Amino acid sequence: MKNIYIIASNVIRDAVRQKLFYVIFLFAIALVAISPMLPMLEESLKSQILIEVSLSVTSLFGLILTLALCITQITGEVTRKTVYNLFAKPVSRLQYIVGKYVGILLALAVILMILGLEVMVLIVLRLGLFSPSILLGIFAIFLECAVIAAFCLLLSTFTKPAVNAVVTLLFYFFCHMKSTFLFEHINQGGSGGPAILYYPLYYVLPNLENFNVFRRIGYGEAIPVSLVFQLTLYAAGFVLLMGTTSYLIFRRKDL
Amino acid sequence: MEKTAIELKNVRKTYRVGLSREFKTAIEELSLVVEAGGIFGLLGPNGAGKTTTLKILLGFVFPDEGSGTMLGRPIGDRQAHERIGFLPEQPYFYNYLKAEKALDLYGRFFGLSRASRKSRSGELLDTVGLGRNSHLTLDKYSKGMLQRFGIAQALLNDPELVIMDEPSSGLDPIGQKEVRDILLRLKDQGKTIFLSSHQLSEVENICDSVSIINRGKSVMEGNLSEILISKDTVKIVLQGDVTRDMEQLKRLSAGFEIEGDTIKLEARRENVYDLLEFARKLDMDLISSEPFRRSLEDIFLELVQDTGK
Ligand SMILES: Nc1ncnc2c1ncn2[C@@H]1O[C@H](COP(=O)(O)OP(=O)(O)OP(=O)(O)O)[C@@H](O)[C@H]1O
Ligand SMILES: [Mg+2]
Repeated sequence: MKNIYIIASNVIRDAVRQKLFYVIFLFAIALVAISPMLPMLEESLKSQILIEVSLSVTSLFGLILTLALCITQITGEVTRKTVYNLFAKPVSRLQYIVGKYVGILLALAVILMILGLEVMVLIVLRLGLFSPSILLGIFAIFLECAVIAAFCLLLSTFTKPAVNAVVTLLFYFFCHMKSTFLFEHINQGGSGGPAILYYPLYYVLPNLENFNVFRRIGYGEAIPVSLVFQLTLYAAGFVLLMGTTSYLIFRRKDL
Repeated sequence: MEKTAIELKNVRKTYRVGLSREFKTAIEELSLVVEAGGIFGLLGPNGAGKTTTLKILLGFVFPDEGSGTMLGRPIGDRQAHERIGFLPEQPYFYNYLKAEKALDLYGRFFGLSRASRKSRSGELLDTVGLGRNSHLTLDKYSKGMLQRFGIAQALLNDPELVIMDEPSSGLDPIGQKEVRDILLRLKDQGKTIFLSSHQLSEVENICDSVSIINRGKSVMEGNLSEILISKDTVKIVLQGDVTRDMEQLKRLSAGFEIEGDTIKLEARRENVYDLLEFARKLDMDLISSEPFRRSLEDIFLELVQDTGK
């Protein structure tokens, strides 16, 4: 536990050093930038659209943040050779991976929380509407980021940062198109594209669109606790699967 | 404490070259025993497999065959790592940290309390001569300073076994002497030091035992003084009239050298008495007679050239 904590806090320290927390300000600017479109909207749609759009922007920021946090983690330390000093200490490879992941989650949680509060403030200022359900949307984004982070960390056990970024982005897009593009491709049987490729993708990839509850929150629909619970389990399952794979790859890797 | 600090048995290690099916043999076949207490040197030319051997010991890379123990525990065991210190070949650390912060971080993995981390890191930075630079981040350190920092972090937990990959690499003569003194002090405290090096004079000065490897195979090992001191050759120095006929002396000796009125020669032990007998007949004085001592460099070059073919 102690080692996991030390490694996790080091991830956060590294994030601070890389000035990742500055996205908080960038995000505020982005929110201000989308506001001018408000007067063009019908009165009844304002809150819906503002909430949906700002949560989508948050989700995009989450993706970028996750990439920035994860792509250099493990390969970076292996190529910089700082791992030697670390593993000469009584630190196991499992603790290392778990510590990294926990640190990434903590950094994501803190930053996303702040972004969420910024969205709430925006809604209050613009529409005089206090809507705590936005935090549920933020939680869904956090879960999605947790899945992407697990995938990205898995890749970082054996790929260079640039390749990692590209593959993770592909992962992100395919996971979002699972119920549309991929579904159509395997059901319309050979309407272009190699089905051999799409079948495994369809059955293996998580459906990240599940975490897109922004429209429902925008419409002011209540999000049932059971859904939150389901989404958490769904994310946890994939995280566990990818985490285990990362460990299996990294466990006997020559450093 | 265990009697054997390190043991490797029939270790073999090949590296895969890229993604191809090509393999590069780093350790062909290596067995090694390092007794507890004293300084053990692992010698060998560039690419001999020294670093790979240390990486195997620390569990950084996995041997294809063979096994080993460290402080009585199998390789890679975390409890053994509580009691060792390691200096890697290239001293890379979290370079955005200040020296004292970095030591503090490493100290936490050993479960040292905040107070003892603080006192220990101050102490060690002074020992390695970085006391005045402890507030600099490590990316502002010179190569030699990083090496010194590396030595400091290897000693944080007051280890029983210190493993160092070329400890004096990158150090100036003063630094090299300081490292030598540190290692000798550790030895006096009863610790075991296992170091790799190709600085033969350094090894010759401080090591108790050595193993020389070449191309991933051990070519000689043993107690250093036994290796260096020849049992069957004696070095004799005589003085006298060098103009007299010395054919008999020359016939009995291996090396023969005249400097002024001094004659230096090497003789096989069984010839010593005959040789001295001739010397007395020639009215020569015996200045000294001692076992012949070869330099480590001679032995090293000879072995490496022989096995290099
Ligand atoms: N990751 C690797 N992939 C492929 N080959 C490697 C790898 N690491 C080491 N080798 C090879 O293994 C052999 C032994 O390397 P090693 O680093 O152990 O040598 P060394 O004795 O430490 O040399 P030096 O004195 O230069 O430090 C070399 O031929 C090297 O090319
Ligand atoms: Mg080396």
